[in-house]
Amino acid sequence: MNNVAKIIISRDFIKAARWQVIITVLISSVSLMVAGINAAISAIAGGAIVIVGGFAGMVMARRSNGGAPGLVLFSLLKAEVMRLLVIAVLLLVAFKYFRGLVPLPLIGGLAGSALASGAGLRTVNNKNDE
Amino acid sequence: MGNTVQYLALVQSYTIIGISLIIGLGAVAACIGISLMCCSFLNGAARQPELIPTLQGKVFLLMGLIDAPFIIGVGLAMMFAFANPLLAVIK
Repeated sequence: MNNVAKIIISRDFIKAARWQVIITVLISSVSLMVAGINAAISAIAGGAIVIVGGFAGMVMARRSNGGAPGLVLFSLLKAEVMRLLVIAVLLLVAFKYFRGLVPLPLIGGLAGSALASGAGLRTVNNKNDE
Repeated sequence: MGNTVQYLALVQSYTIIGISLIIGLGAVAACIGISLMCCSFLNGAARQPELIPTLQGKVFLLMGLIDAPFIIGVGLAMMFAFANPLLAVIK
């Protein structure tokens, strides 16, 4: 994989992560007003889990070498597996060891952050890609 | 007492079936979506190899978007597994 691909992946991830942080903070603020501090922390945990998982996937996607489409695709699938694994393990840890967990805000933060990850697609047709 | 235990067991068994359906159907849907996208990526890469770096970033982001319902499903399944709100009705 050349440097251009690494830069493009990093830039797309950063754009997506920015929206994920915004949505997570928004959901956390609403949870704080509605259900208190534990709910707000749970919402932040839900959003952070998806962001950390995405970061792990990005690191994995950047590590690969190879210009053939098949190799590129294989590295992307490995990155996705890593992302899902990190998210599942972090969710398990949160549900098992976080005593003051409020489940619904956590799911809300998780869902909002996961759906906001598509916001990086705003870079489609960006002149910098060329 | 006996009835309560029976109800608890009933709710837990139905919850396990629900969890398996959530995770299983979510995984099947995500697999179908990702396979369609990968097929399109390979098509595009074969036609215009110079666009591979650009397409790669988009594929990475779209994989996250396609997997989002599955991730939400996993979160919901863990909520039902570790903090089942349905059990509170019986207790």
